[in-house]
Amino acid sequence: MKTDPEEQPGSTLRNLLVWLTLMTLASANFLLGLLADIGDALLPALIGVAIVEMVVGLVFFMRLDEQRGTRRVIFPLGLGFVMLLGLLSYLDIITRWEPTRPDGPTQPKLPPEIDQRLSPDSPPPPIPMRVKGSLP
Amino acid sequence: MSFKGPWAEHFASPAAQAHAAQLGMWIFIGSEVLLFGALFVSYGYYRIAWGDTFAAAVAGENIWLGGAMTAVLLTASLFVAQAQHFARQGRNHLVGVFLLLAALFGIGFLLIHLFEYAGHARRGELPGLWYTSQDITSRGIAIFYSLYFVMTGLHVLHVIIGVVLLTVIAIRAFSGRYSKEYHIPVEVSGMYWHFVDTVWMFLFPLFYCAR
Repeated sequence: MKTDPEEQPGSTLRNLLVWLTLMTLASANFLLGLLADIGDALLPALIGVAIVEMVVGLVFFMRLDEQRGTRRVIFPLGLGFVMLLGLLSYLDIITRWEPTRPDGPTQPKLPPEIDQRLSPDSPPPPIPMRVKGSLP
Repeated sequence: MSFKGPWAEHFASPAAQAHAAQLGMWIFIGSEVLLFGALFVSYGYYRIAWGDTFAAAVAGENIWLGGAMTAVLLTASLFVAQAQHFARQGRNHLVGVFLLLAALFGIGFLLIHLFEYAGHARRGELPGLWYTSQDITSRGIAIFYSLYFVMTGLHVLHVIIGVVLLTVIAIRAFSGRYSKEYHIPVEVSGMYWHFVDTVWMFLFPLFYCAR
């Protein structure tokens, strides 16, 4: 770890620039959410901006650029595991034979007062589920 | 050796001790990534299953409050980064001032969140069986608010811990506990705060913008 202040020239300016970058990126997400009408592309766009924000914060505020060895790989490795989990979950729901949750074939019975309040004919999940026998 | 600060004898040097402390914090943050990561995957799963319901629920959120909370949290992170910068120069007074400023902004974030939670409670927008609002009647809405309260609630808990941590470190800085050579508690508590900020960078778009 660097401890000599002389090795950190312009740290205040650097911190301000990082903060301005993060505020700009957060504003981009804010404006996307408030004004953009880009349909299904909105969520990936928002997550893309958030990932850039995360990298900027990680490298410059959390000082990942100064870390060496094990300390440098822990966070990216954890992130990689989470992305693997997300990918496997996504593959699961787009390739599942029959839907289970939500609104599966054995839907749990709700108490009557809740059942009346929530629409019994809620639309089925818009997942491209395949039904057994529908494949050639 | 002119080192000023606690130095455990089983470490070969103060630098080795500082590296071990940072490694410990990185491992802790890695475990936090897995905790929050599982929740984000859950959000993604149910977002695919109940896309329209989730979009309608997000449209009902107050994006201005979400934006204000983001600005407050990012500014708190700037103050923490400045405290880390001054800690490296051994300027304890400035470390304490900036950490207290960050803690105050953290409290501001919590107050805005409290205001928002109160609004949800008034409108009956609560998780599971407690959802009583008539605005959205799809069954997926109960899942949305379960995820909303679990994910933002867990983040709020982290912010509360962060505020306490920063306050304690600030008090210690004012009492002259740290120096140019020994300031690792400021570094690791700052890392924790920046991580909490990082989590919010994803919560904000998912719960306030993705309409």
